[in-house]
Amino acid sequence: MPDAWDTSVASRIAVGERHAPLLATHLRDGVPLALPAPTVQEIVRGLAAPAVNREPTRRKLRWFGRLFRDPLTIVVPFDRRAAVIAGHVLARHPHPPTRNHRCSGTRAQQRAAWALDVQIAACAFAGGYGVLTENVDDFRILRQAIAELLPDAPPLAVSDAQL
Amino acid sequence: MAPPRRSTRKPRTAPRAPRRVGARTTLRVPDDLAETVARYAEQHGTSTNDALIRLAYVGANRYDYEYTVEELAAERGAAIDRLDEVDIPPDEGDLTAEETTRAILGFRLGLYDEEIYGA
Repeated sequence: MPDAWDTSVASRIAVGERHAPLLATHLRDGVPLALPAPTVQEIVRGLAAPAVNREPTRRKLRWFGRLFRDPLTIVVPFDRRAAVIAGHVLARHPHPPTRNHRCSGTRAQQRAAWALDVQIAACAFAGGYGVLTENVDDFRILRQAIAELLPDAPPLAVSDAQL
Repeated sequence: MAPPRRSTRKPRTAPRAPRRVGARTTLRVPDDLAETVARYAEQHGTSTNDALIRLAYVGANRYDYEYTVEELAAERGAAIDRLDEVDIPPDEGDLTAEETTRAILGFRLGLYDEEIYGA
């Protein structure tokens, strides 16, 4: 099953970064790379923020812009079905499951990040993908949450990008 | 006058395709595709037959990828569409306008205890 890359992976694929070999392999073999729409949002939001508006940041934003437009890149949409499943999951799991263990960010930021993770999982699930992530614990919880809602559907595969 | 020197180089031969197992076939390659195949073969130092097979693998892999994703999305999508097909007793009544607003916008309006709602 092809994987969509969550933000923890997709944000580290430029040359010299941790997951650069992954991107290089896809480009070499002509295999599409799938990015959930909320991941694209997170990348652009992070690099377009006025607080980090320096030339290297703009260059990196342009690099990602080209990647998003590359014929091999598939932006997995947050469409009707993804929105429905995300709503159901958020209604049942409004809190980040690991909030007591997270030491970075305010509670509001952690809740926003959790909502994005839910949307990413929903995009991947509805789009027919698994998820490749460094944040395996949270996405396994999301896989379980979706499986409880839809026990008859093929479950969301969660792959650890750190392996 | 000295006779022209003969080249000691071996005559150039077209690269040979690697041996593959499978059924042999004959097919007509459209001109525009043949140009691409020839360019690929030259770029990668291989035969046009091998180039054609390699490019076919690229297309087949892409097709397999899309087929897998579409099949899975269709199966999961059908399950998502069944989510709201639940039996509701007819005497349950409807939400009032105020209840509906509270349910949907309560998060934005700060109407919920954040420990309960997660707001």
